Amino acid sequence: MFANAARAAGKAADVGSRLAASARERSIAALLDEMDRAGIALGVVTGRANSVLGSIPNDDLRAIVARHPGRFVAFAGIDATDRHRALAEIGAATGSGFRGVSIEPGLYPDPWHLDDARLYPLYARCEERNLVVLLMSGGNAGPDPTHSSPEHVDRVARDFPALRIVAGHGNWPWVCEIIHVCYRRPNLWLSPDVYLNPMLPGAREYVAAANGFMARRFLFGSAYPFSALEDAVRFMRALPFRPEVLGLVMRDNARRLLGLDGGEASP
Amino acid sequence: MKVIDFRLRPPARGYNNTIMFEQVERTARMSRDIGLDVGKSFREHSIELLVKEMDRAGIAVGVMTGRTNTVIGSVPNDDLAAIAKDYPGRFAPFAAVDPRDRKAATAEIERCMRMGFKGVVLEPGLMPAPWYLDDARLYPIYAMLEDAKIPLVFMAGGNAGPDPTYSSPEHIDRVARDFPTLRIVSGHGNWPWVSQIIHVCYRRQNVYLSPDMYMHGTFPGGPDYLNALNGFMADRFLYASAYPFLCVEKALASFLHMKIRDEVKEKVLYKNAAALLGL
Repeated sequence: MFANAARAAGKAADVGSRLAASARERSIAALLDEMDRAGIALGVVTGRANSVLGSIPNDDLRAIVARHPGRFVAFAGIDATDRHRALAEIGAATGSGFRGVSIEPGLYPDPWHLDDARLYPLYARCEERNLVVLLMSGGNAGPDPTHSSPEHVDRVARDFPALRIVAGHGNWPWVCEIIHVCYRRPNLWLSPDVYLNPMLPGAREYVAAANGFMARRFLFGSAYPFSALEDAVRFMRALPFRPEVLGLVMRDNARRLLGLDGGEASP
Repeated sequence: MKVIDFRLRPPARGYNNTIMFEQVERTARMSRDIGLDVGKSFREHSIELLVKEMDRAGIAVGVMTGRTNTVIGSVPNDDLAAIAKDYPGRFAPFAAVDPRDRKAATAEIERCMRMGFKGVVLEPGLMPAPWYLDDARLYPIYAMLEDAKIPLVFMAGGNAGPDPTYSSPEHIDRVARDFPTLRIVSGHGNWPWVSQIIHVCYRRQNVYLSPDMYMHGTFPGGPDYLNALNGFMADRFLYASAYPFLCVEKALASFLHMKIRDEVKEKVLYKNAAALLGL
């Protein structure tokens, strides 16, 4: 996403945004300025452990969080194809400031669905450790659209009812279907990020869910660098969220889920 | 020659409330259809008689698997512990757990292993809403067993579920693939999928084969099981009677009547099982 700037710029343009200057320059200082201008206090940085889109070591995330206190919260990237190594990463994440883990099994060279049995020992461990799991469950989550289809995240939420799961990319484009899953699985949070956009199908349904029963389980995300931060915030403000819901979606829900106000969130 | 019978459920305590002991005619019919018979100890529900039959046959140890399901009856693990205590060294208990509650299941496995159990048995196809052996919900339990080096017995053949897909070997194949150091015993030998399970055994070094009652008489697949036993499965084949379905003496006599290579006999009758049980 950074190494191929033209691809990221094209994707940003497709949703009416542009490649941010900070992404073009690969400057975290510029990014912090952009966060300030957009009013973004905190960003959730997710690790990545796969050979398709590139990997980011969890130690790099630790360093980023440490260098910019209070500006980033980290989710550890986990490669589930080696269970023992993955469990060790989860163990290391628990004790070192990570708030959750990020799993993207559809991006493995031999892709897995989110409810692949081989992931279940890892979900079990995250549930026991009270770590939030962020799944890449929409958009280009795998080699074909079955990887974003909500039946997979539905089964995981069913089988681990105390595991707090965030549907990153909001299972787009299966918008009606993921809202059904959210309705029956109270441990599922929705974060459509770059796919919640007035120009894309499903925006009306996402917003209606956020204004309704998902008011406390809906999370803003920019999917930076695929959207410039100021554009992402502008799009959110242009959508017909109820005013009291916008504050929840843009801030309070994430703070509660991440346990930033002390204590731990509950579904 | 000493013998370990890898599937032997004694007529004692909770076992007497399971359908294999309650429905006497069904069990006798299943034995008769194979061309063998049940034993006197079964007819009289007498563990004392069973131990005498074991002594006469030279069966040192019987592996008794627990059972927890509402379809064919449950035997509490504490009953197995009590039987093992009543007949020291004669019955090796394998704990049965209900996998639907993962945390309770793993806690129960830990409790039983502390009491001296030798392994765990799972029969997920017999639950009211049956699961296949490779159901994802079982994977955290498999991971725990693999890490703790606890052997696992599956009900993987015969009436393993509501239809024959439950004994089909693709399920055990996936579990063996995903947990390559977990020692898995295919109880009932995935019968009747004999060619297919032998293929799985050929490519998965951690699968042990125990067709027990299903390799006797003229049942299909018998010669194939026997060839595997005499060939590459010599170190991973486990003798068993599936008592009470077969009389322990008649089953062993029938087995010894098969064309088993001399150098393999001790392995399949004792050594392979002893290694699995850590005797």
